[in-house]
Amino acid sequence: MLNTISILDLASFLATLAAFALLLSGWKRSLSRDAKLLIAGILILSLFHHLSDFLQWSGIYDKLDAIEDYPGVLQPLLWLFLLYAMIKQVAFRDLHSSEERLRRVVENMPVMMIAFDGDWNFVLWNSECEHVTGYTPEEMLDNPRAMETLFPDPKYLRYVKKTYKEFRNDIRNQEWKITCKDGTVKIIIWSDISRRFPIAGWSMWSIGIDVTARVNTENALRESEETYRALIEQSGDAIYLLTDSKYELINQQFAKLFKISVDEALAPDFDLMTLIAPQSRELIAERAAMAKRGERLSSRCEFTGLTKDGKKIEIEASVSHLIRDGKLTTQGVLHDITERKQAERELRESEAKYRELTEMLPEAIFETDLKGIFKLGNRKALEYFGHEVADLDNEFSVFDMLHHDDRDRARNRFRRLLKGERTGVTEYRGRRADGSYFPVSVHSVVVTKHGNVTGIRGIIVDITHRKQAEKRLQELAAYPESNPNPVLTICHDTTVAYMNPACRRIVNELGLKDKDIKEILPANLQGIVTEMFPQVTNIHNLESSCKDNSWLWTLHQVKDQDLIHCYATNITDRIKKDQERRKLSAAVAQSENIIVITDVNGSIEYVNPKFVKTTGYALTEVIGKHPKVLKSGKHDDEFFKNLWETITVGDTWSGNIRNLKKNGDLYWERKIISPIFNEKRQIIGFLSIGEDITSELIMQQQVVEADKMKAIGMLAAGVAHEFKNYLGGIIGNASFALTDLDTEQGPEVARDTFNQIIELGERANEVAMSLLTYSKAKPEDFSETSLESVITRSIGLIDKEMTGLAIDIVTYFDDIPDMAISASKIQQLLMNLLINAQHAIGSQGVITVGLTRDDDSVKIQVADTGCGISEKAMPKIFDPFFSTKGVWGKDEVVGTGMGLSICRNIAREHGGDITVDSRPNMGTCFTLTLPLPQKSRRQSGKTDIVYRGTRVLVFTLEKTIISHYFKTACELDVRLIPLDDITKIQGDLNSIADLVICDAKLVSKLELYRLAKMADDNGIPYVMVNCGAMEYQLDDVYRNAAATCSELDDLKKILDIATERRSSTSDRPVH
Amino acid sequence: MIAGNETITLLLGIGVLIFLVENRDSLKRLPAYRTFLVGFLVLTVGWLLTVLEGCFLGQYLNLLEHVCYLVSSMFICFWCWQVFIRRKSWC
Repeated sequence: MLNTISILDLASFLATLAAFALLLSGWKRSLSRDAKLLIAGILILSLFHHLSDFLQWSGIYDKLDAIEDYPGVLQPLLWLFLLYAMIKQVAFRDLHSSEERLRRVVENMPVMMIAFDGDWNFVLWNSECEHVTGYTPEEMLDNPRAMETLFPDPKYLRYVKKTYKEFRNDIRNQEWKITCKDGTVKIIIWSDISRRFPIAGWSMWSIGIDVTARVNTENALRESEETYRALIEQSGDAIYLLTDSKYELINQQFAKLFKISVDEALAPDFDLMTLIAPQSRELIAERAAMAKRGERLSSRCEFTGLTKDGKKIEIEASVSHLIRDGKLTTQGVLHDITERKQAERELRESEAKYRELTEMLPEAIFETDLKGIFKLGNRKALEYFGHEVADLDNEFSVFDMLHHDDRDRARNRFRRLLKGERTGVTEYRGRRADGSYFPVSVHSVVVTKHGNVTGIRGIIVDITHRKQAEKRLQELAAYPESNPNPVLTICHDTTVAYMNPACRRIVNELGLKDKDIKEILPANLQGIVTEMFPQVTNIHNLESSCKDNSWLWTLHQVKDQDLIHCYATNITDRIKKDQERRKLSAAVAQSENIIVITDVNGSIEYVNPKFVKTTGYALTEVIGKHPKVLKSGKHDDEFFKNLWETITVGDTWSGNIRNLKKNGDLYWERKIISPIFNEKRQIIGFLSIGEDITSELIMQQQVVEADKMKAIGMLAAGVAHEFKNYLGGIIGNASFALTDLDTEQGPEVARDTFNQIIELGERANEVAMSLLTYSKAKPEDFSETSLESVITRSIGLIDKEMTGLAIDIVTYFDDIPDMAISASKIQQLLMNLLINAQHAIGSQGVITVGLTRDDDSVKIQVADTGCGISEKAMPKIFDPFFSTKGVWGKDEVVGTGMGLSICRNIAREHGGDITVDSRPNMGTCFTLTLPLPQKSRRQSGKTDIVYRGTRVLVFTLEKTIISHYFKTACELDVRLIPLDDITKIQGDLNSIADLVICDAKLVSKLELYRLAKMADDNGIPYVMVNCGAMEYQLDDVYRNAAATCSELDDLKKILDIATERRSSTSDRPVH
Repeated sequence: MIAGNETITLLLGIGVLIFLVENRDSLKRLPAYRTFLVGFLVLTVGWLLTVLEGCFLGQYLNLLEHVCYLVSSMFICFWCWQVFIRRKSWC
């Protein structure tokens, strides 16, 4: 055991010794000197300890135990020092590596870093400094002239040093210019913060950044900005930059264009819409919205701007949009195109004018391309050659429009013309589409575009008449003596060598002598003759005149002779006709009526300027088109069918048409359309003469309303009285009902009373409804309405007005289907007639109102027994503002004079008419005729038309008698004339009635005698009705009567008897 | 029997151990620090066993003490070889 320990100790000793040997062998490596010394100390102590233990435990020597105990205590302390030394070495190593890193950072950072000692010598010069300046650290460090190298200008160097001193090493972002090794000057921004962060050994240190590139870029940018700003300011166009509807930039031209100041436009509260005319605001707003939504839109647009002083200017804008930070940024260039627009407008107008002129020219105009293909021709050109406008779609050559013998000649001239030669007027034979030929003269010129010849353009004149005249002239030239026209032969000096008898006769007729022959020759004859020589030429169409006579001369030079034959044609009549035609044309053109001329198919051939002004269509836009371009859709097909049926059979149609202008507005036209006939009475076209009556109708509508209001005013008192009666009845019955409720049979009695109240209320409602329908401010559209109900309502209203008067109204209603009418207008018409009837009657009389039908029309007759209308007033009663009543308060009954005029207009609006039959003191009968719709037209069923139009005078005072006969009178279409006073009959009874019916019971005998005598004298049969048994036996009056009836008897029967009596002299029948 | 010098050595050794623990982060950066620290720790155990052998199991603990010294010496020797011969680098 003891040996084991000694062995262990020995081993420990040896291991420690080995460690010591290793320490010594690597002494110069790794650890610090202090640490190695401490390790050595520890190892020595351990060696001593292990050795003493070995000696002691091996028993070799045990005296060392006492010595060994206490040095062993030092061992932990040595370990402590060793650990401490090692920790210190770790810290030192850290510091060293940190310093190294920092040095590398400073050395290699991309910022210039320099440091000076107290004598302005560089002690730091990093790699960035070398990179920027080109000077290496070796060249700059410890170089006393390094500063002079960087700042070669001594003044600038002094300034740099002074600045450093002044700011005491506290400089931020100071810009210095340093000179680099390659001689370039660079701009460095220096910051010296060594006062705040001093470093031992350095009097100052700075960091710098090379901003040369940035400064250069900034300068370039600034220069560029200034250049562009100058460009914008000096630009001839208005330029702006707009962000979210606010101007950020505008140039002077912009301000000048809109006559505003720049500050004004750039103000935050400036509304850009004030610079845009109202008609363009929607467009601009829509474009802005589209741009905001990112939609693609064209960069160019045109709009109307508004200057500050309110002047409108046309602007063309070139705009680009950009969405920046969610805001719409717009930059644009504006160009004032007001003048250009004006010029364009004028050009368009001018073009339209020339196009119209071209179309109106009486000669043909054409245009071809370089191959001679027909490209353009006016109406006359197409007419000459029998082509349609549609033919232009198919290419055809102008040479094909000539006789095939003339084509080579024409092609040759065409080529010469294109080469620039002048070809003058050439005569050809034109070829119509139908293959027929006619002579033409053609004058052509080349068409150039941008200096290049693109084709030819020319005028074609139909010279058929001239050729015929020439032919005739040639025929006559052979026999000058027998020529009925003047023929002269003159010499070169214009002396007359020969004059034919016709010429001599004309000279004599004009009171001239032979020597004065030159008076009838063309002016400047000598000049013309001189021009004709020496070559042989003919001169046509020279005009001369003398004492209201005119001649057309043709001069024919005789070949190889110094003579010229002059042939004259008297054109006095033609000139007069031309003048008349010109006058007529001017009258049509200047007419204030709208004039349209169409061919038989309805294609428009001519419209006058008033048409153009009214409709907005240019002449060229409507020529060749059908008048249905004006169709407004406000009239049904039947309307137009009726119109065309009327004019195509040769009748004249007149009426009002609502047409459509080009701009979509409607207008009313009062039109008369008549066929145009040729000599054979064949229709060759139609002439429409119209008048724009839109404003007249508006005024008329106002007058109608005024008239209606006047009538309502008149009716008001009667209606109010009626209402008062109804209300009185209602209140009274209501009171009774209240009282009845308290009695035993209360509820039963009250029910009856309430029923009466309801009945009264319904009547009052009916009156109110009638008045409401009548007073409608704007008449309703045509609708299916019962005429009977309209008449009943009208009578109901007038009946209130006649309360207290002895006027009876007798009615008869045929079975009429509902018709498409304007109920309020028809009611207004009837009210006018009824009010007139009441005024005509005064206080006592009868008004008959009958509604009957024929096969294709409906008649409403309103007749009265009033004062009638004088013959003098009769033709004027339908004229506006004509009244037989007192006007404007002069008389008790006043009138505006518009009532019957309005009635007639209403009747015509419904396609009908109104007629009147009246005699003074014998009453008046107005007949309103309305056409039945096609579907309702049928045979009326009236088989008995023998008595149609017969006038029956009924002499009675009794309404029931009139009522009795009125029904049959209506059925037979007989005119019933009630009469209550024989003195009212003026003139012959023949002119008033065809039959007289006398009420024997109610009329005085004296009057009966007088009437019977009057009838006998005029040969008019009379019938006594309501007779007593004695009377007719005693009196001659009764015996001479055509018939006598004890009662009223049937009118048909009476008429039969009277007719029989008139045709024979047989005894009167007795009933 | 517990010897005074052994007790002082143990206490100082524990003090050094505490210092070691306190600065272990710095000491970890020593080259072959584990070998070095194990050597010191085994040595400290030896110092402890020297004290304990005076109280109980004197013979056994004494043997262990010397074993610890041997092991510690061997670790120190190995550490010296690593540092000075093999030149193990600092962490």
